[in-house]
Amino acid sequence: MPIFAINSEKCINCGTCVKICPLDVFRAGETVPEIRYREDCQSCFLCQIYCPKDAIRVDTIRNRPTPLPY
Amino acid sequence: MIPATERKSADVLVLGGGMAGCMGAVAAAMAGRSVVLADKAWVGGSGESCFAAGDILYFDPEEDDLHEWLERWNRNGSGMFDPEWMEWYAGSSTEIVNMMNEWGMDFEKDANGRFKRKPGRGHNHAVVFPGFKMMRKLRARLEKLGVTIVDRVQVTDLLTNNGQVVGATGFNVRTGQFHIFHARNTILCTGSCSFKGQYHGQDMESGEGNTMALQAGAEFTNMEFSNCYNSTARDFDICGMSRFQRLGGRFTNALGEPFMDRYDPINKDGALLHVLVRAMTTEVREGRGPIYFNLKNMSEEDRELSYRIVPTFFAACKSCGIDPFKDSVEWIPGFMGSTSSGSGLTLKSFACDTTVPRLFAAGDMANQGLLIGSIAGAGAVHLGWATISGFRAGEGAARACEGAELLPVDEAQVESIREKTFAKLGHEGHLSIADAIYRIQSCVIPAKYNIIRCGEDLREALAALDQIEKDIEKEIIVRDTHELMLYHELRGMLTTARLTFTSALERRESRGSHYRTDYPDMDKEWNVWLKSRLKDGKIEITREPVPAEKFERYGLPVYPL
Repeated sequence: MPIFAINSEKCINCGTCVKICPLDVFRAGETVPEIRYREDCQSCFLCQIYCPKDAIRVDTIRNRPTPLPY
Repeated sequence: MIPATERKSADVLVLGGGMAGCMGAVAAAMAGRSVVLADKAWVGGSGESCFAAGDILYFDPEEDDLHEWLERWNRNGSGMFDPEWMEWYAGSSTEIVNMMNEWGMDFEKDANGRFKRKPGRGHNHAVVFPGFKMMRKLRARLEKLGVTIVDRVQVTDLLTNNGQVVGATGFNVRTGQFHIFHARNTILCTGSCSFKGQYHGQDMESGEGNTMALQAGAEFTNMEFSNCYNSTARDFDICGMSRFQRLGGRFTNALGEPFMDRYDPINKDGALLHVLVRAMTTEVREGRGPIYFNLKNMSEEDRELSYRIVPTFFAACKSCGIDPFKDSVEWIPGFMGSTSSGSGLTLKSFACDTTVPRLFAAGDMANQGLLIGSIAGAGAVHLGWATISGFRAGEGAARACEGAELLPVDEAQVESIREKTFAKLGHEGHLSIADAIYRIQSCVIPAKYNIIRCGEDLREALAALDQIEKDIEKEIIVRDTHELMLYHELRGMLTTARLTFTSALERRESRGSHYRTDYPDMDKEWNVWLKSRLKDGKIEITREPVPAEKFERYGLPVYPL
């Protein structure tokens, strides 16, 4: 599971990550966005790249167990 | 509360907002047509294009020789391409890439303002740009052209009137609002199907478009080649491999030996993907695994370029404490399914029309085997194909609006689809979406089904898929509209896997990415394109001979030599 987190001190709740996430991982929250579907994150880093306040950290450890080819 | 149903109509409906969809919408709007573009994510950050290394295969008329191109791609794809289409692509790439350059897209250039071209797997001819920036710019262009963009709508079905496509339906993945789209012509470009496998940035590609097209009666070509694996870190997702393989990347086995020169003495570590992953699998099966990868030999200039083009790769490495220029990282074949493969919806002409009236197709789900033949993951071709086929499909769909009236929607059909669309919302059972994904992946990712396979393996996989579908229908847990989107994605994966294995059973030879231990040789008798379509609820395969007269006309050899 990507151990990604939103830094609530930096986040201004602008909603950019909620808007752009390709896999619909976020939902609008009261003070910061909610990471509601964390297991669907593909670690694409778009939220981190587009966050205007550098408030998101994405990790790349695979989010769900996936069978290996061999 | 679910908002009231939304209806929209346009001359041209574009389904899918990756590179192909955006280019299609731009072209149709430039031709003066009203356009609606729908995507299950947010257009500008959707599709694989954002995360691609930003390569477009580009024909430079001053430097390139068409015949050399045709010979190269005939050889790469073992004679399964169509030389007329490659000629079309070459000319179109010159025209369309230069047009995009005039739009202000960020292609890398040298001091004289000429495109910098870089090698990838199978070629030396890619212009490059940062994919994620390009997609943002394309969205801005769509807005300027007045295209109606509908974000976060998962389209599930095509609407038909006497066998002609008249639109589509879907639902908002956050609110559940039902959407009915009505159009004179529809372009399907929802990508292919990665099965949410290990490779980076493709988890949204799950084959829903394949399900829609198959149900609407469309024909697919050579689905046995829908078995693309890239290579990737075992423990995290990466991108940019086509470039890295040709710019100093090196694979080694557990003994520390570089081994690719044994499997491909000419291209070595820059081998085409099916050669690479078959070699990796063989090394491991013969006891020399695991496999490692490093970038120790990459030049300073290419390191800088790589940082600019694929920042996400370096972010991924950094977050794992890895320096790819110093460290060897454990590497595996990273499954990509039917993405970037030489298969997909049959296209009838350069207008990118399908076998179903009023339905066009472009991008990764349309048959790019017309360019790459029997291989997958050639690098730069796929984003190029999305760009070129997308634009041409947009022009084609716009042109087809002339004199074509808006055919009525069958409201009874809409109601029946609406019921089916939401049938599983709130469904309770014992199978989570995550477990269902894992079970489908277990039928497609293992090397015995898609890298080195035989008839028995393929029949085993098809039987397993039948059981999984039964279990999903009976036991799937769908708690909200987000999970309803994932449920429809599961259906797309099942369709794509069935198309792949049914066609793979039919092709009793080995060629390109399709390798069978029970038929290990390439055979002239199989110089045929395999066509799949639905007949009485089952996939039926027919054969169409590869057009030998075209190869003769272009002076190209017929494979196997």
